[in-house]
Amino acid sequence: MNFTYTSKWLFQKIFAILFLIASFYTVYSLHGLELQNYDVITGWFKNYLNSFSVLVMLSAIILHSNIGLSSIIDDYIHEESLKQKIIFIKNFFFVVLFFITIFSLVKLNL
Amino acid sequence: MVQLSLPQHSKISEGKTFGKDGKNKVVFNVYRWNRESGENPKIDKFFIDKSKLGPMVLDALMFIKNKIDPSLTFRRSCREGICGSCSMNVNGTNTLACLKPVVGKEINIYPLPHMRVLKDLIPDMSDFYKQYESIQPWLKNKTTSKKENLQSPEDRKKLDGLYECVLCACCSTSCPSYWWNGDKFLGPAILLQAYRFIVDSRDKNKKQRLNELKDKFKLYRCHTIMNCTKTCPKNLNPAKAISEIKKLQISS
Repeated sequence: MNFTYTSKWLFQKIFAILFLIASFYTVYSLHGLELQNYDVITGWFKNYLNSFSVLVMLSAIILHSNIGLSSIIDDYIHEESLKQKIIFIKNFFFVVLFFITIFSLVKLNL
Repeated sequence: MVQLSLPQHSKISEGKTFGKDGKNKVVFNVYRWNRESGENPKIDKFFIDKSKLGPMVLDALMFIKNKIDPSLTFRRSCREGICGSCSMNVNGTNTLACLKPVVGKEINIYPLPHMRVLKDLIPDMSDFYKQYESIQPWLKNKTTSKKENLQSPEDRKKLDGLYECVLCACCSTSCPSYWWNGDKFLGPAILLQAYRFIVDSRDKNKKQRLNELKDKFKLYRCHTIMNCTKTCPKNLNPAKAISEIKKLQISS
C-alpha cells in the first residue's frame, strides 16, 4: 500500500480506535480516585503506564483531528493559496499542542 | 470559499396562480425559471382537482403542461422509473416524478438541487455525464474471442444492486459533498457505476480503475452522510458501493 490519501483515511480510523481504547483505560484507571486531590493525580501520572495511556490518547486525538480538519478544509476552502495558509496554521497549532503534551507528561514524571 | 447565501439572481419570488383552492384540490408549487426572461425564479401555484389526475407527480406535471400551461418544461420519457429522466426534487426529496405518488394537499416541485438550471425543472447534466465518461463505463479486457463472455451465477450476483442504477442523479445531487465539490468529487451515482465495473468478473482492468479513483477528491469526499442511499428512487445503496471501493483501495 503506497502512502496515499487511502493511508490517511485508514490512519484516521486507526487513531479513532486508539483514542477510544486509551480513553477507556484512562477513565477506568481513574475510577475511584480522589480527583480533586492534586497529589493523588500527580501520583497517578507517575505510573508510566498511566502516562503512556494519556500520551496515546492525546496523540491519537491530535493526529485524528489533524486528518479530519484537513478534510474539512479541503471540503470548504477552494482557493488554493488560502487553503495552504490555513493548513500551515493548523499544522503549526497541532505541532505546538503535541509538544505541550510531551512536555507536560515529562514534567509530571520527573 | 463556499458561498452560504443565495446569489441575487437565485432568490425565488411568488409567481402566477392557476385555479382556486377548494374541496378535493391539490396545490402544486412548481419552480419556474426562464433564462431568456432575465427575471429571478418564481414559484407558480396550480390548484388541481385530484380526481382529474393520474396517481403520480409526473401525471400531474403532464396534466399541467397539456391543460394549463404548455410552457412548463421538464424531462420525461418512460414514466415507469426506467429511464431516469424525470428526476426532480419533490417535497424536499430528490426522486423520480413518475415513481412519486400524489399524496397530501400540497406538493412542492423543484429541479435537482445544486445543478445549473437550464429551464424550469431541467438541470444541466453535462458535468454529470462527463464524470460518468471519466470512469470508462464499459467492460475492458483483451479477449479476442468471438464467443459469449460468460459469468458464473455467483459473479453475476455481485452486480445486483448496481446494474439497476438509471443515472437519474438523485443521489449525487442530494449529497452535500457533491454540492461543495461537484467539479472534483465524482459523487455517489458515478462511484456506484465505477464499483459496478470494478466487481464485474468480465472486466480485467480492476487495478487501473482503482488507481484512477485513488484521489482525495474523486472518492474521499464521501463522508458517509448516506443521503444518497436515503433518496435513491430505485432503493439502491451507493454509500455501500463507495465503502466497498474504499475497502478495495486498502487491500489493493
